[in-house]
Amino acid sequence: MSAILEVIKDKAGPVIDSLIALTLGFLGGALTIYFSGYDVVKAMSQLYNFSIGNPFVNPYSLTITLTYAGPLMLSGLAFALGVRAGLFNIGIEGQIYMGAFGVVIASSFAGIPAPLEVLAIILVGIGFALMWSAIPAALKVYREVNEVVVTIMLNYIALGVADYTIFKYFPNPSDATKSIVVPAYARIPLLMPNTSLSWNIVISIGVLLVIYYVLWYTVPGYELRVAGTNPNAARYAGINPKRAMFLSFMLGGLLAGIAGIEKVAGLPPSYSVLSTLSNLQGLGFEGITVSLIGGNHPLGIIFAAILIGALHAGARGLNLIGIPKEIVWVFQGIIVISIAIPNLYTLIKRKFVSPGKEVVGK
Amino acid sequence: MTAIWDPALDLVFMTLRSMVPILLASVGEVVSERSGIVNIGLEGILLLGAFFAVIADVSTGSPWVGVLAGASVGLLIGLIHGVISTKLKGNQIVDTIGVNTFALGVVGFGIFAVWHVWGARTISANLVIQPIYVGGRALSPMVIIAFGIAIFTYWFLFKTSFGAAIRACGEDPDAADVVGINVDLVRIIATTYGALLAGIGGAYLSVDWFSGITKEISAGRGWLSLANVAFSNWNPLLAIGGSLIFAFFDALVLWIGPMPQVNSIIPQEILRTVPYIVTIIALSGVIKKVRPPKALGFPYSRE
Amino acid sequence: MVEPLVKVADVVKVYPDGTVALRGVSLDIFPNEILGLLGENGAGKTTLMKIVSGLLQPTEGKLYVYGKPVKFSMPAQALKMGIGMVHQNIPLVHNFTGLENILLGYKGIKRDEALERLRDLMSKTGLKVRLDVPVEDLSLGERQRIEILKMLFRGVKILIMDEPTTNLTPVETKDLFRLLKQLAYEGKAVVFISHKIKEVMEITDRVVVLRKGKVVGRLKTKETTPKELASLMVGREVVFSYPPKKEVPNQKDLLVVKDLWVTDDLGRQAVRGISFTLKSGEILGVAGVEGNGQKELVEALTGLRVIDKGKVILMGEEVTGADPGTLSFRGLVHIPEDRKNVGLVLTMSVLENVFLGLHRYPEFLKPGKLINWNKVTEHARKLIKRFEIVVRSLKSPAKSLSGGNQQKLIVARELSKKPSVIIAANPTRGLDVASTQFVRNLLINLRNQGIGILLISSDLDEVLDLSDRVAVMYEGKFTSLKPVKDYTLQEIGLLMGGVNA
Repeated sequence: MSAILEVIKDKAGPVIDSLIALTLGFLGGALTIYFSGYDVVKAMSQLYNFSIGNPFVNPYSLTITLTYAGPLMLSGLAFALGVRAGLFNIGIEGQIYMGAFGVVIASSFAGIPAPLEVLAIILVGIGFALMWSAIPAALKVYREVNEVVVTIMLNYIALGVADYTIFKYFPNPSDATKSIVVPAYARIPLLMPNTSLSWNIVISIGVLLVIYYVLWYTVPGYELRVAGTNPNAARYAGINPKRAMFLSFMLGGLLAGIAGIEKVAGLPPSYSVLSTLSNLQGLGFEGITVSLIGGNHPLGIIFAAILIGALHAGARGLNLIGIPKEIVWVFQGIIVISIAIPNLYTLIKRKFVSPGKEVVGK
Repeated sequence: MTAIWDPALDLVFMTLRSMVPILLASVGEVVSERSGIVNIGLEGILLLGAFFAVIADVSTGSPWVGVLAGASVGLLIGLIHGVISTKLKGNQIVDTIGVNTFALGVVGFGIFAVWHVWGARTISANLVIQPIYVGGRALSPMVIIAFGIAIFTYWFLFKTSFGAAIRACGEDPDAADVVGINVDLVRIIATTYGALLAGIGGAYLSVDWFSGITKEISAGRGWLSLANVAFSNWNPLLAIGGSLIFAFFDALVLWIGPMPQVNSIIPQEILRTVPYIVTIIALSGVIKKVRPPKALGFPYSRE
Repeated sequence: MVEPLVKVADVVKVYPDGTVALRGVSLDIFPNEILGLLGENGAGKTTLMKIVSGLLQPTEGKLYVYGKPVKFSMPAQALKMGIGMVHQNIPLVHNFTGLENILLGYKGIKRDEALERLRDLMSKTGLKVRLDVPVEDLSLGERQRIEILKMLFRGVKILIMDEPTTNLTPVETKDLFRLLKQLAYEGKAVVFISHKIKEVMEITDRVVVLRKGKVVGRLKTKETTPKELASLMVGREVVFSYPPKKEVPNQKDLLVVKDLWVTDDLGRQAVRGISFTLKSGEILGVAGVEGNGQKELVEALTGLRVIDKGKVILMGEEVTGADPGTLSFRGLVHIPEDRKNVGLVLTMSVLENVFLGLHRYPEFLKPGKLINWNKVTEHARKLIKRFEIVVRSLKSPAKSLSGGNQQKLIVARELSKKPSVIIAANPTRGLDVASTQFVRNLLINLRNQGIGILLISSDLDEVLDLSDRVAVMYEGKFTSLKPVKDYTLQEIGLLMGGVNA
């Protein structure tokens, strides 16, 4: 716990900024609901009841929140690793597609012994995601091509390739809207029966803690952070910034691969990829939101992922009273736009708390 | 004209139709990036432009008011993005990622909230921009307008002193500053102009091309436009060529849609990815070296 | 009495980070006159003129132009009032031609008309430039001429030149001086910022000497001497006293460099065939005007830049092309010139900065590439104590340290690698007196312990005070290399200016 306290003490400014951004996001979302003629109080209580509710009486809502949060932690961390290495890796989305694609392929091996099937899912899933992150990594390292545009392009290519191949070669014989399913014996088991909450959340938090340890307690992690913060200093210290970037891309791909596995092999009821990859779309992009809210820090990301997960869980409740669930993107959009502005707190303080007076630094 | 030519001409006209939003958004983005500010929220602006254009169109009965509404939405977002990227020294990529997310939300939510229909709202034929006819084929006046805007943009970017100021801000903001160019202001204007064009492109999607709005109406065209900026080496005239190439693939997908025999050889999902692959190859410098503006992406501060 | 064009009254400038650059400076700038602004690095010359030209705003004090009080918030306002400054880093848009640069932001003129006026201006002033070539393809001298032309085109009455001769050839310098004199003769005011006494003596009519943000002398050039200016400028009340240099027995060849060739970022030959031997227990100083290949020489020797040709031998073993990590293992460490961008990661903690480079040393690691932070902490505490580094806590970011303490941190860290050879580039630049003294004393003590030090510095005093032998670097070559006592000051000055004595 002391580590967390330290982080909070050290990052009080950014944490406050994140909180302000969250407030603005919720305010903006609530106003949108209000001005569209809905009952905003009702909406907010639905949002709360369907994401948290009263977990001691009935934890169901909370399990939904955590179900959403699991893969989000990984996609958020994948993006954060890029930032830590000085990269803007928006390719997590496409890497998740490829990871899921790999899981579908591995599912077609159904019939081989269970341990082998599990191994196949892990290896092919992660392998495909890694393959997809190796492309921008190589282009960045060997040809100095800006990763932003390349990863965006690769997301779309992955969508086309995975969508086409999955539904051409691995369609579900009994349901045209989905791919073949992961064999029952090779799925990630449920954590609580009769809920959708699987071991995904435990895996994700475990992976997060491991990455946290790698970043702050191992040499490669240290090298990655130095290279990302100041490549000149890195070179001076005998660190190859390109190698650090490559490592970051690969770790990102690894995490995206695990996220893809969780989404397909650890999420009831579909245990498959849905057509146009609709059950995967947005996960990678939302990882960016999660990472930014969490200050690109593994521990912050845990909280941020749960928060965004809660938003999705709560949106089910909104749907029930006729408010389209897409409203959560309004919340998120405003949050992200606000986070883009540095020193939000100082800015607001200067503009609103003490108007006319200039804040003079010491 | 023989019958053989008909499908080919169809493809030409479809290409022109697909070109409009890509051309508008990428030419706008060229101006923005030339001033030093990147906007990866084009996809979102297309979406928002399309949505608000329909609202304005339906409530006034004029698609041109719809175009105006789309432009206004673009202008507003451009202004906000411009201020965040300059005065507030914000992260240009992050805030426009936010714009994309926000747009998904507003449009997905809004279509139901406004019209109480799920996913799509169509508009009647009289609310659509009326085409002109060329050789018996319908052609949107927006095609000509888009060409005009691209050429005009090239002219003012490369032949006027304000254009020089924009380019200077994107290359060496210090140099612009010392001769009295207000770097932040120029960047805000350039970014606003860029987003405004994307907003018009969005309006075109709904009040012209598709006669209505769906929550997926932008369908990656914003990302294509972003690709096209780099593909065209930050030049509005080359962007016309790039847009035509990208639009060709877009049109090709639609063109072979009703031809199952072709579709089985070249699947449209794969065909759609061709522009993206081409852009990656272009950016890799295999064909030629493209050079982005030197100060792209960095807020300017004196000293 | 002629009215001053510009009057600076009691200007104080405090930078946001708390550095006090100017402590109440007053100054008049007159027409028909070249005013020299003399001072060492960090005296406040450039800051003062940036205020006059609108690039910076004074914290306190007033500025009058043509007798009226003004407040500039941007350089363009000053330019409009006829004040133009030619900076050291000339701000021209690199992919624009000279003409496009000159016309940038200039309203209400046709291209042809402008071209005609420029031709006229060029023939009147003797400024020769190519207007139709992108400036990135032009020499630094030509870029400077374009910048001056730009200022004249805009009708400046007060032309401020910031260290204008740094990147010029002797011939170009002569031409520049002739031009500046002509401009003053025609009624303009010229401000000539320099730390070079010789140039100030040669070209100015009046000199204002700045030291640590204060005016310490106002003199007529004709009535002063280089010696007087020198003592005003450096203010010899701070006379450094150094520990005595000891004879070091059994000197060995530590670093042998043979015929080294290196290219700079722009692909030019920056180091052209340098050879030397650094012995144990000696400080080999490299003097020279900045920009003569020193930076590239340092980078090549420390593994940060590709070596095109030549050999580097460290303690008998060839290390040509080795990376910085390998070099430090073999006993060669680097105290970089740019401590904020190279030597440290400012946003990371002091502790993590102590670890920088040491992260490959097994004593700070646990098996499996794990970091032993306890060991690093212990080590950091030791260094902080031994080098008297002032830090709030090991967890606070390196940027919270003062410049002097940052430099101490770097030096301490590098020394803890137990080097045989130290390559120190401008190790005291920007430091206060106490820190400067500390670092210099340390270098001498290290030399006395038998370490070989290559000291590359643009501070001539530093080189002369510390070195056993001195090389003068000019245009990528060592034009001279001999014991420091064999030089006269004049001889070094001439060598630095590219004249073989």
